[in-house]
Amino acid sequence: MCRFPATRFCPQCRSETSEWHAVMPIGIIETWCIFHRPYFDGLSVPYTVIQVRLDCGVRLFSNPVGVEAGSLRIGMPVEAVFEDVTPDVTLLKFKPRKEHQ
Amino acid sequence: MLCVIPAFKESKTMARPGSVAVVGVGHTRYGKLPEYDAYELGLWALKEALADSGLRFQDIDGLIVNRIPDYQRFCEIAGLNPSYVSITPGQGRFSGICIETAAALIRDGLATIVALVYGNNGRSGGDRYGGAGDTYGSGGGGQWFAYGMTSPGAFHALMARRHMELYGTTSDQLGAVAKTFRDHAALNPSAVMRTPFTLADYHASRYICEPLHLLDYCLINDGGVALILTSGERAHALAQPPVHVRGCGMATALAPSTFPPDDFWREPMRKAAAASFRAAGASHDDISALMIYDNFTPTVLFSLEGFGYCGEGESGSFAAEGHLALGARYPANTSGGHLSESYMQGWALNLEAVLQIRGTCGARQVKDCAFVHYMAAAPVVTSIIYARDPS
Repeated sequence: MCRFPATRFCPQCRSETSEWHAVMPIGIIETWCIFHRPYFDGLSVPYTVIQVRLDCGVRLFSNPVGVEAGSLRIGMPVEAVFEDVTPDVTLLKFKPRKEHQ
Repeated sequence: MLCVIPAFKESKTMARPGSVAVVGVGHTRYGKLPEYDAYELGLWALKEALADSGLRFQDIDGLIVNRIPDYQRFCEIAGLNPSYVSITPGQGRFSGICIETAAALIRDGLATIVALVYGNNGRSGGDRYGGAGDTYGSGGGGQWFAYGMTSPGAFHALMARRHMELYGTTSDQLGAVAKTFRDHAALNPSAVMRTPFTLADYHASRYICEPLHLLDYCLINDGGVALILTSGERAHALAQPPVHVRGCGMATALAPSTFPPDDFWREPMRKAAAASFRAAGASHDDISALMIYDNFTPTVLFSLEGFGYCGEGESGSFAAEGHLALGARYPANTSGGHLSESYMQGWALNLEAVLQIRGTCGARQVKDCAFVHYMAAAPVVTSIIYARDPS
């Protein structure tokens, strides 16, 4: 069973034994919202937050790339986009994925 | 004022052993109260509640504080040395938890007269509920700040969007909730926001986190609320008609809880509701009024479904058809609630439940109000049924 972010103990079996796995960078959009009120300096509004469920079961919050908020749909297939923000920080975002790929 | 607490008194409305009642309620003015800190707001409310009950500070032998930062400091300021003391986190789910805990303390004999005290100076204190200081969510949710994800409002916006996509719930229906509660607040002299608005006004109010507008969000206010509870037997000797805590239930959906629940918390609501109805010996048909934790309008819709007042996905229509209005079948948040009276994290809703049972709500009184259901939907769900009669 995959979990993220990492925790020492598994919430299902409470074992301390775990390892990092590479997972497929694909999932679906479960819901979204659009921030109109700013909460963070340097993050100008409006911006969209999506909730993604990866095929491996892990959930993430992220931002969409290459799709307008008005076009989002529950169940929309998405794939990961890695955005290098600084030499130390990479953000994980998502763009629409064509199903047959 | 002397108060004599007699031994068990026989009467026609004899309390059943183990029954618990609210015997005193009090609150501060609500709004902007920068001269008072949270301790002082709590003590102001407690003084009101004690005066309401006819009891004295020295009668209190159990105390739970909520949102007040430090129980020790509060007791020092208030001059209290209770036999039982505890403190709970400043989250809205805790008002119901505190009341259920107080009932258990009284039933178990750990305390006889329990004061529950809430003080919140968030408005003057500049509470923001989002951004770098945001502590909402499991462990504080800070790990998602890089994507701009923050605030309980956004969490509920995500849920609202999904409810709209799955069931066709509309903005108009969310607006109907806000409008209904504002109409109720217009009848409540204690409410902060009393001017009714139209659906057009609702739509014109700015988006905070779409699909939620400003008028979908609860207020941020200063204020304090206190409740005094004791056994049903002791309650009959006191100044006010007792309001019985007929049934309580609680359930959680904490593992996991970083993301919105797939079922909109329906499962824990079902469990908590069932436990409270079973303990109360009552059903939905008996309920005269609802007090629904309204941090955001969509929470009201999820609550109507989860606690069994309408079917899955039907809450939008239920609200828009007017069933929550005074004069309709299930008048809800007759004080105006968190959306329009004041955001006192559930406490003022429980206070309103007591006033409705007592019959002192004046223009906003629900006729023949025998049972009121307080319900809060969150990762911890609480369900409390108040009743005029002990059984």
